[in-house]
Amino acid sequence: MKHSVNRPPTPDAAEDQGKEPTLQEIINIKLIESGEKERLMELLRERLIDCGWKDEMKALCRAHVKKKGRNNVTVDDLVHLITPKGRASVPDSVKAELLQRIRTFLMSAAL
Amino acid sequence: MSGPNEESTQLSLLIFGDLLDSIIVDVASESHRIAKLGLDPKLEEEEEESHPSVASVIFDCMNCGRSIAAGRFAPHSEKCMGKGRKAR
Repeated sequence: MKHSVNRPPTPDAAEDQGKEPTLQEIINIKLIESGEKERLMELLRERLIDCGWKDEMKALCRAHVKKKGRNNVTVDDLVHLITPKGRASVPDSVKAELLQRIRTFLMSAAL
Repeated sequence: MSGPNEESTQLSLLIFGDLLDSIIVDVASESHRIAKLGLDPKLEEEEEESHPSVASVIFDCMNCGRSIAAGRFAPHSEKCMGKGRKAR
């Protein structure tokens, strides 16, 4: 008899072998569905532009490209380049504002 | 379960980090695109320094009378004056 007869059923894409969606995944879905994720992104983007954070990151990228030559740099290189500095240099006030809004959303999502 | 405040703070930080990471990828992509398409004049700065805009001033060659750009003057002179001069 063919082994394929006893093959386990193809996992359902949605089910992932019984793994429950995490709290974070649930919240992420709520954020996206309500449109709040988009609003939060735009708010953060705007604040980061206003405080010069974006310019700083772009300058880092530019310096790296100049050094390596523009055909030797991948998006991945740049992401790895600016992530540590990027995460560390967000002004406290910007972070606080976003965290406050997120917390408000979490409360209203009644979790 | 730890206090709801603590958990919501943790969660908020994770969500914030997620948003920030997305924006970081956007900025990196944008910079990459600008670099690849040569849209950044500042990237060319180093090259331009050896060819300042003075190179585009036009002179008339005293030998053949043609209008020559200053930056092309030396190579032109070599050929222009060289042809009438086989041996020094």
